[in-house]
Amino acid sequence: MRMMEWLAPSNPCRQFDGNERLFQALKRLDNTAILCVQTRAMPSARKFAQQYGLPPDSADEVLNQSTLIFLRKIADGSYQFQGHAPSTYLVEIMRRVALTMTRKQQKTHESLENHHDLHDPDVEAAHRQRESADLVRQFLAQIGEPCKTVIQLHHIDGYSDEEVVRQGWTRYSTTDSLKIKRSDCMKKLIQIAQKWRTTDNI
Amino acid sequence: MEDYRQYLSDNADEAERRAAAQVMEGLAELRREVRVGEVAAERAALYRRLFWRRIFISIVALALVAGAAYLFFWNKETPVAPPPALQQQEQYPAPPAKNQTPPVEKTDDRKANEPIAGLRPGERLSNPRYPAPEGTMIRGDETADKARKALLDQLWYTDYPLTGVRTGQSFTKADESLKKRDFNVAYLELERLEGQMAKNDTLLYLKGYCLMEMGEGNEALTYFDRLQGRHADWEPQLQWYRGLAMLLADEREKALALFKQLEARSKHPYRRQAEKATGLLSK
Repeated sequence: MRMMEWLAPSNPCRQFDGNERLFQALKRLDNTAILCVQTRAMPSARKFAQQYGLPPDSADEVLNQSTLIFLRKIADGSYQFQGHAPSTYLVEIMRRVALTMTRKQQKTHESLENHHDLHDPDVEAAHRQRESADLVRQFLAQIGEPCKTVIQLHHIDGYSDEEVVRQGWTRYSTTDSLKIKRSDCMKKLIQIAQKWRTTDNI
Repeated sequence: MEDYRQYLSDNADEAERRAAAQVMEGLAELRREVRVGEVAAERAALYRRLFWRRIFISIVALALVAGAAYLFFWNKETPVAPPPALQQQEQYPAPPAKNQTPPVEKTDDRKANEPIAGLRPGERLSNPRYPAPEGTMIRGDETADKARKALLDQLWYTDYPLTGVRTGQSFTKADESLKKRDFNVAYLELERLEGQMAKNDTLLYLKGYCLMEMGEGNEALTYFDRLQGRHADWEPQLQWYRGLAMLLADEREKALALFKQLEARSKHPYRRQAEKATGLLSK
């Protein structure tokens, strides 16, 4: 890195000249957009951690958890852009996450009965989604290669088929063959999930 | 992805749809987790850069402040810095008289204040701390001037504050300038004081000393002569200074006679200097 770049680190928000543009980028899960809202919300995360008596290093955890909830809300449409800065909403989520973390800490000292009315729907949804993610991770491990890589590159890492073919990350040399294979893999993955639901758990 | 969605819409039963929904939800969550993880790493790197940048800027700012402070104080001290000859001060003790008043500026330097008469037998007389003045050395004969300057350099045992002299408040400014060996400033101040107290003995002695250090032998002698025999505790140093002023005024014979007198007095604080002077003048 050149000296001048080091001396003046780039502002991640620079490329988003309006809140709407930032919101659209967040919808696409653009890393720079996420970094931008996180950078704006970080001082509040530190403040909440201090205010709610959380350890100083928990500000990062508050921020990351809140960001996941925020992105989820954007994806499922429960957060709609209305002209406000997205970071404002993120700060509100952070406050609730920090509060929930404080309650979890208190539970170690007090009886559980005292907290039966303190559940947060957002945090519960986050918990459920995290369980789904863990299950899918488990199914992907079960499905093996090349399906695991083919699904991961597209659905988790977010690479386009063209990029995957160009980089040669799989054995498929055309986007069509890659799509066909991925479709086949997804069917297998759903079958594994269905089997898991019927035989073991639900 | 389109194909399996088609497959779900065409053939799938309810259980299969629910399984597919769970998979899609899990994949979406994994994707968000990966993104947030990546951004967390980027954020940590960004804060690390910011931290080191702040450290770097702080160090640069401190260096600038330190540099500015150094320049400020260095510039402030330069005008009053002692002449290069003063660097010898640490090596060569002063030649004060027996009853010398402790110098204000170096009260802890016992060696420098040690009376010359108190030197141990055989102890070598150190060289003068300061060179003789040059201002009035040029009198036409360059060779003779150089020889006189060389001689005076070897005998220029002068010291300030003057032995036995108590300077009052009115002499503060002149006293400070003489201590700094800033004789021009001291001379102007003494001139001013002379207008107010022309017959004051302290003033006469200070002015005589100042003129002598400026190389004005004849002028200095007129002041020293007026003080002869008036203050017993000033007398030994005054005699020595008269001798130096005579040499400055090119009155070698008179100076030699005076130094011989001082040399003959075993307890005279400038006996060793006088001995050196007679030795050099007799060559």
